[in-house]
Amino acid sequence: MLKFRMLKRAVFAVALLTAVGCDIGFGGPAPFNLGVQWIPQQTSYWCVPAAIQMWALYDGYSFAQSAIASFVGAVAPAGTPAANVVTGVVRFTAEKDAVPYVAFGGGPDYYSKQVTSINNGIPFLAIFNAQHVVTVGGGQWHTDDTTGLYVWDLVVFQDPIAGGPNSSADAGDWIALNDAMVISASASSESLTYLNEYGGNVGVRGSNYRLIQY
Amino acid sequence: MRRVLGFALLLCTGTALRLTADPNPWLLVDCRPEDQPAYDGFAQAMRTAAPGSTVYVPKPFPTTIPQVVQDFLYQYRSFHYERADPNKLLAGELPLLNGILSSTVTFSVQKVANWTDLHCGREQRRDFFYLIRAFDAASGVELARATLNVSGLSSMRRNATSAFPFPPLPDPAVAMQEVAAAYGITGDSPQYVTTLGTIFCDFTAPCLAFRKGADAYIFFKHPRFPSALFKIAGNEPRLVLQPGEQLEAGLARGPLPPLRTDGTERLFPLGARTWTVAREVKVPAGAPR
Repeated sequence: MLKFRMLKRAVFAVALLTAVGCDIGFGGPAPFNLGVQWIPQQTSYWCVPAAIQMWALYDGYSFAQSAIASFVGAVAPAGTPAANVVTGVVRFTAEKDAVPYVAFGGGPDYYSKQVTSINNGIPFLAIFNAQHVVTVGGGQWHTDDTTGLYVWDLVVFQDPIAGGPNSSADAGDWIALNDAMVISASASSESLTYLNEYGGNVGVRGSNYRLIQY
Repeated sequence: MRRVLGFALLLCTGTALRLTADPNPWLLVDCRPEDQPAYDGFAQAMRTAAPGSTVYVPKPFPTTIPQVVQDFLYQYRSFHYERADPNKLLAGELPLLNGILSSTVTFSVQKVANWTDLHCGREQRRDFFYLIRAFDAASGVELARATLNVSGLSSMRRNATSAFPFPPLPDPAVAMQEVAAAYGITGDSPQYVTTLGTIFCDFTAPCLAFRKGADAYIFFKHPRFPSALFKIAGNEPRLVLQPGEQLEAGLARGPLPPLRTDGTERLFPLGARTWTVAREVKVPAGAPR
C-alpha cells in the first residue's frame, strides 16, 4: 500500500508540474473518468462515510464504512456533522491537505478548483444542498471561447445512495445543486493562476450564468 | 431501424395528450414570490435562445412526450459521444449511444415532483422533472434514465449495466394497495418524488408519495434498505433557513423539536430551504406485512 501511495504521489507531483501544459481531461468527447469505484452506503445516514470510503479506496486505502462512520460521527437523525467531513477525508484518504469550500461564498474560483482537481487526477467530495454527499471522479469541460477558462459541461460522480455507478449532471444543474465541497488544496491550487471564477463572459451549459449577479 | 423510432414516436404521440393533461405534481412548499421575476427572465431567455446558446433546446418548456424526447435527444447528441474512443465512454453508454444513433430505442416519460433544493434554484424554477427511461426496442431492456427540467434542459442521468440494472419504478396503484393493506391508510394523489437527505429518493429512482387530508406520506422502497412509510404531517413545524444560514444554526434556533435517534424521526428537506420532520408510520399490530 505504501508503494502504491508513493507511486501515486509521484504521478500526482508530475501532474502538478505539467498540468498547465498537459490537460489530461480536456479535449476528448468522452467524459474524463478517474475510475473511482462506486460503493453503496450501508445505512440511510452514511453517505459521508461511503463517499470517503470511495475516495480512500481510490487512494489505495481500504477501510470499513462502519469505521469511517464511527470516526466522523455519522448518526441519526441528521447524519454526519459538517465539521467532521474534512477531518474524515484527512484521516482516511491520502489527501492530508483537504479543505472545505462553500460555493459562491468560499472563494472566487469554486468550480475552477473542481475541474483542476479532476484534471490532476484527484477526486473530491461534493455536497448537495447540505443534504447529501457524493464523490466526484470525472467529467467533461471546455475552454470558454472568450476567456479561455475551463468550464464544466458534465460532472460524473459516484453517488453512494444510487443504484449503481457513474451518475452524471449537466453543468447548469450541477452549479445549482452543489453548494459545498471538500477538496485537496494542492490538487486544486493552480486554479488560482490559470482558472478563475465563472465570470461575466463564461458560458455554462444549461445555464444563463453570465447574466446572474451573486 | 428508422421505423422503430418512428413507431415509438407514434406511440408517444398517442399518449401525448395524456402527459399534457396530467396535473403537475403537487408540492409541499412554494418558491419565494420575489424570485419569480428571475425565473420569468430565464424562461424568456430560453424561449428566445438560438442554437448555440447555452440555454437552447428545440422545445423550451415541453408539454408532450415527443417534445420532451426531442429536447433530450438534442442535448444528448450535442455531446457527440460517437466521436469518442468507445473504450473511454462510461459503462453502459455504448448501448444507449448505438440505440439512439440507429433509432432502436423507445422512451417513456413521467413527471416526478421535485422536493429537492433544485426546486427554487437561482435561475430555474423546477417544480418537477421529466423522468425519461430509454429502452432497447427489441429486447425491452432499460438502457438509461435521465431527468429533464421543466424547462427542457438536461439535469441528471445514469446508465444501466448488466451488473447494475435499474430497479422497477413502484406502480402507484399497487403501492397504494400495499400501503392500505399494511398500514390501513388509504390516500390519494399518488405521485413520484425526488428527495435528498435521510429519506433519499434518487433522481433516477424516485419514491412514491401520496396525500391524505392535510398530511403527506412518502413510501420509501429501496433495494438495499427496508421499506418504510413516513408521514409528513400538515401541522408539523417547519424550519425555513435564512439566506446564508447553515442547517446546524437553523436547528439551534428551532422551531423543529429534538428528534429521536433510532431513525423513526427524520429531518426532512422539502426544498426551498425548508425543513420539517418525517415520522415513520409503524405497521399496526396484527396487520399483514
